[in-house]
Amino acid sequence: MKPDLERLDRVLEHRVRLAVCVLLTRYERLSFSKLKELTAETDGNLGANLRKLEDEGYLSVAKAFVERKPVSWYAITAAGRRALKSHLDGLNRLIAQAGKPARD
Amino acid sequence: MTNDRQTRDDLSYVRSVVTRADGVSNPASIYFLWAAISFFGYAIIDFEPQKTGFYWMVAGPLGGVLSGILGARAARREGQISSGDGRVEMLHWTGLMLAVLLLVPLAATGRIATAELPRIILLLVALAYWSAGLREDRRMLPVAIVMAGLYLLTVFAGDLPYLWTITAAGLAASLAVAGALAAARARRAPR
Repeated sequence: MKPDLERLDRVLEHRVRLAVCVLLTRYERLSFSKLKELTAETDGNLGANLRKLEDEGYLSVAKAFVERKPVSWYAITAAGRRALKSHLDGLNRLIAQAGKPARD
Repeated sequence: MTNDRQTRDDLSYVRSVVTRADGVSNPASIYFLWAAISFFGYAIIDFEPQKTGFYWMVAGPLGGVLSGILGARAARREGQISSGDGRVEMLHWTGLMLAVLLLVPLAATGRIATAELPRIILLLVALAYWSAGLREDRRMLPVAIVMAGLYLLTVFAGDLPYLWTITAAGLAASLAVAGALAAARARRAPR
C-alpha cells in the first residue's frame, strides 16, 4: 500500500484543489467567479487554493476584460495534468485495495 | 486523508462539482434567433412557396454562424469555455444541415413531391432537437415534442388553411418559451 500512498500528490489532497483540476481538464478555461459558483467556496478560501495550485505550476492564470469587467481565467498546465493523472491513479489503487479483504 | 472514507467523500464532492458544471444551457438569444428564423421560414411556404428554398439556403447557414457567435459570447460571459463542446455542437448542427441538403436530390429526381420536403425536414429537425436535448440543454426536449406534434398536424390536417403559418407560429412559440426559460435561469444564476 505504501507505493500507492507515495503516488498521491499532497497539493491535490485538498478536495477543492482536486475539483478545480478535474474541472479544468474538462473545460479549457474557467473564470474565478465560475469556479466559486461550482465549488461553493468563499472568495478567500478559493483564492488561497488557486494560488497554491498556481505556485506549484499546476494552473496558469490570465487576466482579461469581459464586457468591461475584469475576469481571471484559469487553465490547467501540462504539469498539472500529469500530477492529476498520477494522483487519480493512486486514489483508484487505494480505493481498490480498501475494498479487498485483509490478508492477516 | 489516508482513510478511504475521507477519500470517498472527497471524490463524491468532486463528482458533484463536475455534475454542476455540466448543467449548462444554451443562451436565450439562440432560441429567440431560431424562433424568428423558423417563423418566417415556415410561414413563407403559404405565401411565397417558390422562395422557401432560397430563404433557407441563406437563413440556415447564417443562423448557424450567428448561433456560434452567440454561444461563444455566452460562454465567455458565463466564465466557462470549452472548445471541445463547441466543436461537438457545430458538428451536430452541421450534420442536420447536410441531411436537409441531401433531401434535395430526393425531390429533384422526382422520388418525392417537393411539397413533402417541409414535413420531412420538420421531422428531421425534431430528431436533431431531441438528441441535442438529451445531450445538453433539456429545454430542447419539449421543443422537439412540439415539432413532432406539428409534423403530425401537417400530415393529418394537410388541408387546413394557412397550415404552414400555424406550424410556424407553434414552432416559434415553443422556441420563444424555451428562450424565456433560459433567460429566467440566467437572471437567477449568481454573478
